[in-house]
Amino acid sequence: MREVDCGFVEERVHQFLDGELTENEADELRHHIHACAHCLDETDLVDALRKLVRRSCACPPAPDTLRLRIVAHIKTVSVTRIEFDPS
Amino acid sequence: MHAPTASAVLSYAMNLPSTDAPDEVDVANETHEERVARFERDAMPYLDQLYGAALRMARNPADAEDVVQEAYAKAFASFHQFKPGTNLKAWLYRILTNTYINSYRKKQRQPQEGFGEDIEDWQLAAAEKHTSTGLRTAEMDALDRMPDSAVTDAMTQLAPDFRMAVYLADVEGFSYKEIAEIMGTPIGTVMSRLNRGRTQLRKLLADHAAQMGIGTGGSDA
Repeated sequence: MREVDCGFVEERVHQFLDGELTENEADELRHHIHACAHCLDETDLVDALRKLVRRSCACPPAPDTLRLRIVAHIKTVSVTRIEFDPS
Repeated sequence: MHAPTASAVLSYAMNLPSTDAPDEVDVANETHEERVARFERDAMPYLDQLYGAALRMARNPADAEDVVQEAYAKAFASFHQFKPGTNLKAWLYRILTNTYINSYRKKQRQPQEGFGEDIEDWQLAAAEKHTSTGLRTAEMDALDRMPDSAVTDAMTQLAPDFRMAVYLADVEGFSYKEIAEIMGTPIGTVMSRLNRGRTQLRKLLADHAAQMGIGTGGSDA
């Protein structure tokens, strides 16, 4: 396992938290983070931000009128096609 | 040994021809009624999620409804091209994203207030490096207490490409590869948009916290 520095961690912290690093690289980061208060704090902050975005962006369900409009539209499209279908 | 490559797996997960059709749907010969029924059964359950994404992309509920309605119309029109058993959610998001991008490019009335893609990363990095441990603790505290509305407001200030990358990753939990497919960009671009989007968001929230006198920069007695 390579020894990695703070810059290496900083560049990859998002990929690390998103589970997008290889196991090897993730291990290298973990090893450094556990020994470095600065990187541990930074990682926690980015992680807190990710979770905050997830929590805050919970949305209300789509309005029923929108659902009805879409369903009405796709049914109309079908009818139109059948009408013009030469067979 | 002949293992499928990651990109081959992704292709199958998206919209390319697949040898097995788990649903046994005869897409070519189904009637319009059958297609409508299949669309209602398979695609309509994603409406709430797509509407949520559109709400975060667009700036108001009316625009969000327009974008979703148009996206669903397009999705239905090309539903015969969608391969049953592949990643329908990602396919729908790709259509939604394209519809949104086309609509805001068409309107050309996108006021890019606040942060854009032009903000220099070194400025953000420089600001970050000077943050002391004590301030980081304060920043964490501020994030913990941040109201949802402050976060969604800050999201709207990001450039649309950054906002979408952050939304697709953090709220929808898509992988980088899926986001790359949805946004039609290389994975490297996804990473850069995500990193910069989150970093800008963090800065915006720190500024908000400072203005409200909580956490970072708060001058409390």
